[in-house]
Amino acid sequence: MKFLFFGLFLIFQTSHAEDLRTFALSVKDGKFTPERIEVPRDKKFKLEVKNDGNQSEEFESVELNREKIVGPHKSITVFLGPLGTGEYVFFGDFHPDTARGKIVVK
Amino acid sequence: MTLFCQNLKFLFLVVLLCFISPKVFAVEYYELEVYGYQTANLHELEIENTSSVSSDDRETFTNRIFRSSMEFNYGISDRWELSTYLDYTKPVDDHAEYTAFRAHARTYFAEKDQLPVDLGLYFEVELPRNYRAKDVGLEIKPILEKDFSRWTIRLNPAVEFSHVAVPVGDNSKVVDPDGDVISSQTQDLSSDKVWIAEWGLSSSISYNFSEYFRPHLDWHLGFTDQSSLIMPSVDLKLAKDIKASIGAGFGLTPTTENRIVMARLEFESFLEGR
Repeated sequence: MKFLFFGLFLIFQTSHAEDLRTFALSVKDGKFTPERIEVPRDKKFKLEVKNDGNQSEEFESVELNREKIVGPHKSITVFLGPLGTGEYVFFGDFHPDTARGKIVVK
Repeated sequence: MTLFCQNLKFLFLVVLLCFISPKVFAVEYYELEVYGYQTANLHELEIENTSSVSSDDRETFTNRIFRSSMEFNYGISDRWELSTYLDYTKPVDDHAEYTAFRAHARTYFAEKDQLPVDLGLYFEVELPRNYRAKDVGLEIKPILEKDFSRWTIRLNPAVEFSHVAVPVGDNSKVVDPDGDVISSQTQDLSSDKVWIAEWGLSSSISYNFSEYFRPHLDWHLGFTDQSSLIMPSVDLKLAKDIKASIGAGFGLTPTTENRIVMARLEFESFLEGR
């Protein structure tokens, strides 16, 4: 048991607060704005997803393993990174044909 | 903190957890699921059935046991979900019978990737039908999850506290928490019950191939009866609100059921505003 707590300590001692760059993403009427977000490579960052509409939307991405509902006029914070170079697609599962975007890492 | 150091610390914890469990309970044949970090969203209802057929016979798949569990899961907040289960079993050449009622609460700490390892916690209460052998079980299960690109590793170490009957007679062994007598001799059960604690570990590695297809390899360990089950499986998204999972389990030790075929069907509904 002592070893388990020691292992958990090693994990949590790295979880101190740090300043993360924040990128804004809004969704309304089945559409994300902006549809393309450029972020730096190998850096952690935050995505503030705000729902400006009257219906819920689900922020989902297979590459990023994310699936979270944003209620109407509410926002969620998505912690991401560090990501390697490439494009990471996200979509709104409640409007998959129109609510699409990507995070571009350079 | 570099990405390499973060991943190294998680792998260190994986190794620790694999070796520190002194006693582990038997494989949970009604669930056969390694839980992830994410709970059901607020107002999200999930109706799920997990069924399996298992056999001790390596060649002909005879002496089969059919198990089924019906689950109703609901997100009561963004971080908490509550679930209830009804478990059934049907040995071959016997009638089906209700086995147990279970209920669980699950939550998570911090947002995904906010900590180096995603952490959740699971509590379960079990009320078996065979209350004479065991009248209640309480399980606590930390959930650890870590993504490496499209790969995901999950660990569910667990401790279960069971209130079980004490056998009458000179045999000092305690009755197995599932109601089965450990000794090969028939034992009478006294009305006295004792609390026992047992440890378990389930683990999974998966690859997020696409929205519709996610293969994974699960490993369920039980040291009390020296059981070990490995189960390659695949999760499928059949339609917008319908998911399925199928797997084939292989017992690695003589005390594990040798062959298991498992299927899970899940229906999701978002009950916003109701």
